Amino acid sequence: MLVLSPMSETPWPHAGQFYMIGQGVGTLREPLLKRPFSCMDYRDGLLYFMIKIRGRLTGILSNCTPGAVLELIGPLGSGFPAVEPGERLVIVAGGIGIASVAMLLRDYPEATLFYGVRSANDLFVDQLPSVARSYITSDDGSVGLMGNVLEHLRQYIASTAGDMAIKVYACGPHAMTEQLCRMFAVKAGNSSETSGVTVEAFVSVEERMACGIATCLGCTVSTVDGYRLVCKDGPVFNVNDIITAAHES
Amino acid sequence: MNLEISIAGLRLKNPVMTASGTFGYGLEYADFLDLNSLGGIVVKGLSIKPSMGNPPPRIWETSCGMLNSIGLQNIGIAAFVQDKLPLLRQYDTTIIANFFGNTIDEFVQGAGMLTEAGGVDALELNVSCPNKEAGWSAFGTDPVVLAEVVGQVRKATTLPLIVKLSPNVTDIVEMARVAVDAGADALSLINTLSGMAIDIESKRPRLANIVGGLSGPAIKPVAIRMLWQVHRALPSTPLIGMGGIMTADDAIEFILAGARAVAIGTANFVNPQATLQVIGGIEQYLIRHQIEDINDIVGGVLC
Ligand SMILES: Cc1cc2nc3c(=O)[nH]c(=O)nc-3n(C[C@H](O)[C@H](O)[C@H](O)COP(=O)(O)OP(=O)(O)OC[C@H]3O[C@@H](n4cnc5c(N)ncnc54)[C@H](O)[C@@H]3O)c2cc1C
Ligand SMILES: Cc1cc2nc3c(=O)[nH]c(=O)nc-3n(C[C@H](O)[C@H](O)[C@H](O)COP(=O)(O)O)c2cc1C
Ligand code: FES
Repeated sequence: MLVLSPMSETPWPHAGQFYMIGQGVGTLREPLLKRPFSCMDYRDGLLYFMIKIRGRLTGILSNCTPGAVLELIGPLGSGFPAVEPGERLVIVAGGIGIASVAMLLRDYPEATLFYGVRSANDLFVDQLPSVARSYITSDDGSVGLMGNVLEHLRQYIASTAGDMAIKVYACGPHAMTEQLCRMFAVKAGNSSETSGVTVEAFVSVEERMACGIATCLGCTVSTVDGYRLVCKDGPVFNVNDIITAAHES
Repeated sequence: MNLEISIAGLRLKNPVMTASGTFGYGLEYADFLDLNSLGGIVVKGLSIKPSMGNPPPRIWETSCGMLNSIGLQNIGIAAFVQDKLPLLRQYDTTIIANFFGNTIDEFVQGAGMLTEAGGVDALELNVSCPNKEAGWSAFGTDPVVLAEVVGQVRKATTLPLIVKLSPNVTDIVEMARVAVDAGADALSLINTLSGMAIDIESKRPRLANIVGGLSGPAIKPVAIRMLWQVHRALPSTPLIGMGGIMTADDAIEFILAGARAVAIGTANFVNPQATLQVIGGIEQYLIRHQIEDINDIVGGVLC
């Protein structure tokens, strides 16, 4: 968890938006480039991030001590669309993807959460707002239900009475994004019919970024409209628009 | 104190420009800095038709630098002229259009379109992108082809013509001479160095395009050396130096090696206000060394 206090006036983020975070001014920067991180919450003038240690910058961030000064650009990107009245929201998170959807939990307390992790050690729940219903799954069964989170999601949707349209907002690893696209994308129209229920699914995708502000053209994702930029046109995309989800990076 | 410089008849209010492909079409950075304070803006490489670029992943950070394989994705000259140029022209700075073609014909057509558009102050001919297919690199690495493309483009435009050289050659001085003899008014150097990185876990290249262009501080010594060699051989040709400039000290190094202007690339990603800090730092340097005119230190390295 990284908690930052902005040193200048900044707009507050929407769910699904992200910030480019890098080392502070004046330090010898290695790595040079900032990295993208979703904001999971803001309150009392502070921005909250949940960060998984993966490599160079995340390693440095994990060693930051209170008072350290970091450089931030944001909020960036489009975020998740608003849920319309009469729609039921199902939030799906895989692993650290929970960080990108966490703000939705706060905004939509009546939502249902499906949260899959590898094992109990990967679960972050301390800082999460609670929602009406949550299903936690783990690959090894060490916490919650055993098995793939999307299998449980499929069963849930199949068993839901078809009275309300469902919005699925998701973020997870590459394989999960791909599977979600297969599950919910429809060739024509904007919704998929799963056992009579109308489901429209959006995923937050990951791609390596250099600038975060649509100038380097590094963060492309292949869509039905050609290459789109994850930092500007995303990171949230309708599953119908994605042709190939981001690679495993 | 004078920071103004002139390149091929262009007057720049200061020697600091942006490097093509690292500053979008300029407008993206208006939220971060006053574009009026820049010496010049060089826009992303343009082609006669919009171009998709290469498949992702397209970037990978290396030690003190980054590899990119964007592949010259751009909106095309027509859309640039219609949608971006009028907005850019509202700023009091020099606008330089970087452009490329897939054939000599396309280079010539592109130069014609940008010249007729009005509002572009100069052209920067990109013959040096390392991310195009193998045959394309001949424009920047084969002296005969380089002479042909520069010569043809020279005839197609009345604008000042800057040729951006590739560092991926054996003899940079020869390429510089060829470009100038064929009609280049000024030279930009260097473009990115061809490079590659591998993920040892998956045993796959880090970039989908396998190879990419290396930029950032890692390439600065190579850039300085090439710039110095070209300046020594062609002292009267205006040179725009780039490659790993992060700070004003880096920029001064290029100027001492013989650059009349400098361009900031990768540093814009690291810090969107890098250009302003370089301009401020150059002023400080001149004050500290009691130099009245920036032009007095161009090529001033003692060796
Ligand atoms: C829109 C968006 C939101 C994100 N939100 C979060 C978040 O809230 N919490 C979190 O922990 N992570 C998040 N990530 C992923 C995070 O950006 C990467 O984990 C981070 O960039 C790794 O940096 P590093 O320097 O530690 O890794 P590096 O040393 O650069 O690389 C280590 C590994 O991480 C991969 N990697 C590098 N950059 C990225 C990237 N931009 N996206 C994905 N993988 C990358 C590399 O391919 C490599 O395998 C998000 C990514 C995106 C695009
Ligand atoms: C992401 C990226 C895109 C680039 N695109 C172009 C381009 O379209 N045309 C061009 O002539 N050079 C392009 N370049 C090269 C830069 O303009 C510059 O020559 C090079 O990066 C070295 O400078 P730097 O180390 O300061 O970045 C690009 C560089 C980067 C990093
Ligand atoms: S990160 Fe540079 S264009 Fe998206």
